[in-house]
Amino acid sequence: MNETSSTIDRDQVWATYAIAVADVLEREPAEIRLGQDFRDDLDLDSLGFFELVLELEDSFEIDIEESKAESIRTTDEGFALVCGYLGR
Amino acid sequence: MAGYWLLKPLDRESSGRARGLRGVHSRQVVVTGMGVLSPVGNDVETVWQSLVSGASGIGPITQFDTEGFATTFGGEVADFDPGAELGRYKAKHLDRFTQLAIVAARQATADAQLDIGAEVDPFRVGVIIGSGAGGLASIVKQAGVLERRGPAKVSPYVTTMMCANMAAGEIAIDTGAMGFTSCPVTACAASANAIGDGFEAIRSGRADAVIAGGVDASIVSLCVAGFGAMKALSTFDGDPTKASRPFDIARDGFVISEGAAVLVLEEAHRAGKRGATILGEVLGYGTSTDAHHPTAPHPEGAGARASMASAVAQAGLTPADVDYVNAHGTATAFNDATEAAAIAAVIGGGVAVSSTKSVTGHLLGAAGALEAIAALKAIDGGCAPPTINLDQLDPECDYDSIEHIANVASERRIKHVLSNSFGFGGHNVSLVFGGA
Repeated sequence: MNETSSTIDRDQVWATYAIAVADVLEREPAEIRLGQDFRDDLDLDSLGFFELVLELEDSFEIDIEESKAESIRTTDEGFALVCGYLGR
Repeated sequence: MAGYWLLKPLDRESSGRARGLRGVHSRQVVVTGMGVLSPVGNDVETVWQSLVSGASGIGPITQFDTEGFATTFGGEVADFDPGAELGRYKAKHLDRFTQLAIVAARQATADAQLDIGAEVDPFRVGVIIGSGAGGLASIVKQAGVLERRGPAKVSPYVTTMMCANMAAGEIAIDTGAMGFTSCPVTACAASANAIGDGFEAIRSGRADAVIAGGVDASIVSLCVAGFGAMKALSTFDGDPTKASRPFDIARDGFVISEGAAVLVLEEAHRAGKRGATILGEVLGYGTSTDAHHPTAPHPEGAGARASMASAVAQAGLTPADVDYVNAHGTATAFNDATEAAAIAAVIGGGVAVSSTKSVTGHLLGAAGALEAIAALKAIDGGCAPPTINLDQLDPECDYDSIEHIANVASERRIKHVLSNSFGFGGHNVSLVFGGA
């Protein structure tokens, strides 16, 4: 897989990721950016976080291990986790 | 004790009643705010005009696909955007019944202009919101997710969305009320119990103000199918606005509706001191249980008679003092006949009787509170709203000692109203209201 293909893939993953996060938060996908803290910047509470994990699992057809999910604090970490499961 | 002498001057017109002498520590409970979302309007004045004019709120059910259902009509709340009212993220995680309750409570507290914290200690403000079915729509939806996709895919919000007490809990969050909160789950008597329990909480000194009412959003496939299976719902073939026919010989069951209705109850002295507008007074709370059958009323109406009599007695009134009875009047065969007989026996004297469920349908857990609003407006407006669709009075509901207000509202002097709410399980509640 060449670098261009990989970049496009990551862009596509980000687009889907942003939509999933935005859907949980009832925001616009454009409001979701790297570097945001889910709790402090996006007002995600504990129940919302569990909902986010479910939404990411559905959007990417992956099963996220609870121990790995618990470590997510930021949009970067969530995105990296998803990419890891997708092998990108 | 000094506060006792600042109470409103005694009204001695009623026969034998001396309101100030119920006990040296007796606290009077007044209504200072009202809020409502219903099939006939989303504010008190619109609802009242609908009741007086007999403008039915019944139409085709839109909240689920009614293909295959024997009953396809009901009373839905229209023009309600929970996202706009509550914020999209908040609204998404609330069942519809809680959404409706919060907005109705906001109307009521705004009407009361009650500043919790500034004007009253938050720990002295209660919230009592009854509901028959709570978050039934959320239960049904997530049960489907569980069955199709397994437990790991069930929403983390389902427990908070489904619990019937969450309406009271969310209203407390919304208003900052930190006193006594609860949720009577007595089916069609739920919000009448809520008002009565709020009345008692203030009288006993447990609270100085209570946000009291009820809500149900049960126009849900399972609920409509269930009521249909027990033949409780009208299957009227024709204009749905004609389907709810309390006391009529052609009645064939109740019409299911949804909505929320909330009152702000306050201790009278405090309310007067802060300059609140007094909308009316809660005078009596009568309760009983039929202990007969899960759904059918006591054949002699023993429970209904007891609740009405005790409400009137607690109010310090005699039956002759009751000017209008807002009946439970669901349009089921059993309820209407039994209730009419009970009203004739306990109140009688040619009292005006009507069922506003003919216009609104049956709001289940919210019915008692909506009908409390109707009672207070009837007193204020000097007008008894009609039972519409009363084309031919059932002889079993016809008594010389009661006057059915049929089809057209009746203007008359109304000082005291008795309102009945009887729930599956045999729960009977009668409330007596007076004017400001």
